[in-house]
Amino acid sequence: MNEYNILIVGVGGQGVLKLAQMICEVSMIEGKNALMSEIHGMAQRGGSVFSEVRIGDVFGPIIENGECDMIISLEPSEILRYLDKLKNKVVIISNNEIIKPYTVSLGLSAYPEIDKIFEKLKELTEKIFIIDGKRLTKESGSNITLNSIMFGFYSAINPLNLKEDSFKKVLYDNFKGPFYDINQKAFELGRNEFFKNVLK
Amino acid sequence: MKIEEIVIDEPGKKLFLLGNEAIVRGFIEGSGKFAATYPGTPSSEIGNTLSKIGKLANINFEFSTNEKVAFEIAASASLSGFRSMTFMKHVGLNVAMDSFMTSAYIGTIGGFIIITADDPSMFSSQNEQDNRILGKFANVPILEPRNPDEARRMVKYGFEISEKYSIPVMLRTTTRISHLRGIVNFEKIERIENKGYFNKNPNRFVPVPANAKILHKELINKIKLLKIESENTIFNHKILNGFKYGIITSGVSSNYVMDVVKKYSLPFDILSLGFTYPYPEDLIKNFITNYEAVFVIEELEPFLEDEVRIIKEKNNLNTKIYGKDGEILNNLYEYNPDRVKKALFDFLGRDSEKNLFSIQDLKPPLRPPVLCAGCPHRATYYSVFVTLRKNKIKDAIFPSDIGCYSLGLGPPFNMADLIYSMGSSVGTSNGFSKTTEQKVISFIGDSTFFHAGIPALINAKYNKNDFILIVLDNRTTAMTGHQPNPGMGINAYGDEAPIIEIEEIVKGIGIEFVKVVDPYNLSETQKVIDEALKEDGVKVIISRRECSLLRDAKLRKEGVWHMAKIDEEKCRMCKICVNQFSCPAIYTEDDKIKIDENLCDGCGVCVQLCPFDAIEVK
Repeated sequence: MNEYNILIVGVGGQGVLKLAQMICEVSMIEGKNALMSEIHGMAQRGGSVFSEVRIGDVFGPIIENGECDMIISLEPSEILRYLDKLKNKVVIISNNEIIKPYTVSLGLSAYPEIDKIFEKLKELTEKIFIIDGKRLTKESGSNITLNSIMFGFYSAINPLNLKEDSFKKVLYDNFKGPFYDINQKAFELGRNEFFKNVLK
Repeated sequence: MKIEEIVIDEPGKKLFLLGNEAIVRGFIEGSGKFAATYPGTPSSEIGNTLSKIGKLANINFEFSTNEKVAFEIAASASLSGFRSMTFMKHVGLNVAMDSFMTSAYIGTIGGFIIITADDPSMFSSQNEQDNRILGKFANVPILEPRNPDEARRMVKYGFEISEKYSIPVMLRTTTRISHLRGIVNFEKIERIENKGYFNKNPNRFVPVPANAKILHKELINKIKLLKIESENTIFNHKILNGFKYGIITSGVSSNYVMDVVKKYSLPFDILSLGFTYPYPEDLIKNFITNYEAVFVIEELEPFLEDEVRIIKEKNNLNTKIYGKDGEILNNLYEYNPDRVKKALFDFLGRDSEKNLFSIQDLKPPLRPPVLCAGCPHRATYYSVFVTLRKNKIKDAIFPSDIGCYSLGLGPPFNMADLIYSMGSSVGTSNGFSKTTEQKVISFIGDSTFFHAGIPALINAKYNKNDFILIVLDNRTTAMTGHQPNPGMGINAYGDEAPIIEIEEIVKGIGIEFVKVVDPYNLSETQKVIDEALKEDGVKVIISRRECSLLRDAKLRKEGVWHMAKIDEEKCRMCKICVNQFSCPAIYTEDDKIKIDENLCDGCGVCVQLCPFDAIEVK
């Protein structure tokens, strides 16, 4: 069956849902079917947030275990919550900036070493892209552009072979006024990050 | 996508919409004119969308004080001739139940749709009741959309059958439909121009016993006629390939069935239902007759399954029925492709196990939902904690309520001891004040106070009960996405509205101890709590401070951003800010206290509670 499944994970407030929506809209305007799940309400308040994106000949919003083709993680430890979903050779794109929950300060749980996370993930896939979110958001001039940076990076990897213009159209359609300029810059930063730093 | 596009009359246009947004599009296409709600996840975005575009689409929309009021407003709009809807989360229908039951007797003039958004797996709810049972109980037709575009179409279809049979129609979504985003195809917007007028008809609209006897009989007749609709509707369809086995499914579950059966080419024919009540009995009978075995795959209660078993018995059929009888498919939690696949593979004797990747020694940190950085509720909880400690009170009871402050149940505060439903904080406080000697300190939000807190507070005064009620007034309905409420001075469209002052209501009841405090001012708040602890009777403290998310959004726009900083020279690592206040912006690293620049919003409460003046806001 023709399907491509993407998990987008992070922490409430990071822009997980917006990123998932933009990824779907690019596919939609190129004539592909797209679905995504959202989590709202109580689950959103600083807790883990995830969205399951499914593109192609699909009906339901939930990705079967072991069938996720790509995971985009806006917070590195969040990947660990969704390992069951990941396919062998999954593409991993992860921010390296951590957000420690209060449970760690209270000693109720421990924050894992992120180098170890990426080291272990190498057993599953070679396709791991680590993004320096802190540096790139700083360069974009705003601390709330991580999702657009990731959108730019995704557009460069472009697993579904979509047109560059489609990405740009979706970005334009999703941000108003001055927010567009900031996010457009962030998008380009993310895109260039792939072409300059990864491909090199 | 910009949400304003949802009102465009451009057949063929496609937008990528949430199920809840698609419902609004269906309402617009079907010439819906009147909508009322009380916000509740997973239904909230229907109202949020109407707030933004309702005026553009010439819709009269309001946030009502509770679901029962919203229900009655939409019902009377229908009786005035308008196509109308009310929408709520599953438990909201419990609140509206009294009027809902009788609305089936009274019927409709303009099409009337009741949307119930159920929450299997309880992503944001206190139970996972299956409201199809309530639809059947009230005897109204039930539609279960499978995706956003079908939700759009079903709203229009719902209007048609509601008018044709003069009956309210239940459209039942679940979280995975309301919060599923998919491609929605626009159709033409129907324009029905009418002026509201109520034609009196007491025999029909006033169900005194003599009238109600007739109305109930008529209702049963309507349901018989509607059965013909459900037998023939395009929303119920079969996928037949001549296999030995069948599956009957509905709503969101049908998607998991389709995904699994198609992907693994499983030998099952499918009867997929979107119009589930009145049951399409003949359709079901004719389907099950053909198969050796039939699975019924539906989330939560065995709503279809029980009927399938009855139909099998009535008709002496040999088909073996499989439903919620196993460890895999049962009444608990939402279904997913893995559950459906395992059940079907087990039946076929196939192995569904996969080698899934795991990492043994690395676990993600616990990341439960928390009160945000700068949340005024945290400051109030901290003041209650400090004042009780000062008074050496260790066993106070904290009845709490539905809202962000339910999160007070977690450490370090542990200040939510009992929650039943909206408003139950005040009701249960009445009880505890009579049944124990313990101090009772109860928490309710501003919107929840208006919703269901007031009758119980009147009871408290009337029956001379003794407790402290703290109204956590953050000037919004925060948890569900910041909808306005009667205390805010704006209506659903953001237009000016009268402010209903909570303190005036409390005074009107005759309660003498009513004080308003600013929770960001810790010493003032603690002084007032201390006074309240020493008084008898009902005491109401209104802890008033705007939700920090709203304030932060405004500050961001203005480009003003304050932040707390730790002076490491002064900090003695007493960790009060971490262990007793637990703001998510404050954390420890390398044996130092640090403040997260992205999370801190400079509320300044930690500055006050630091005993060494080691924190300041810049």
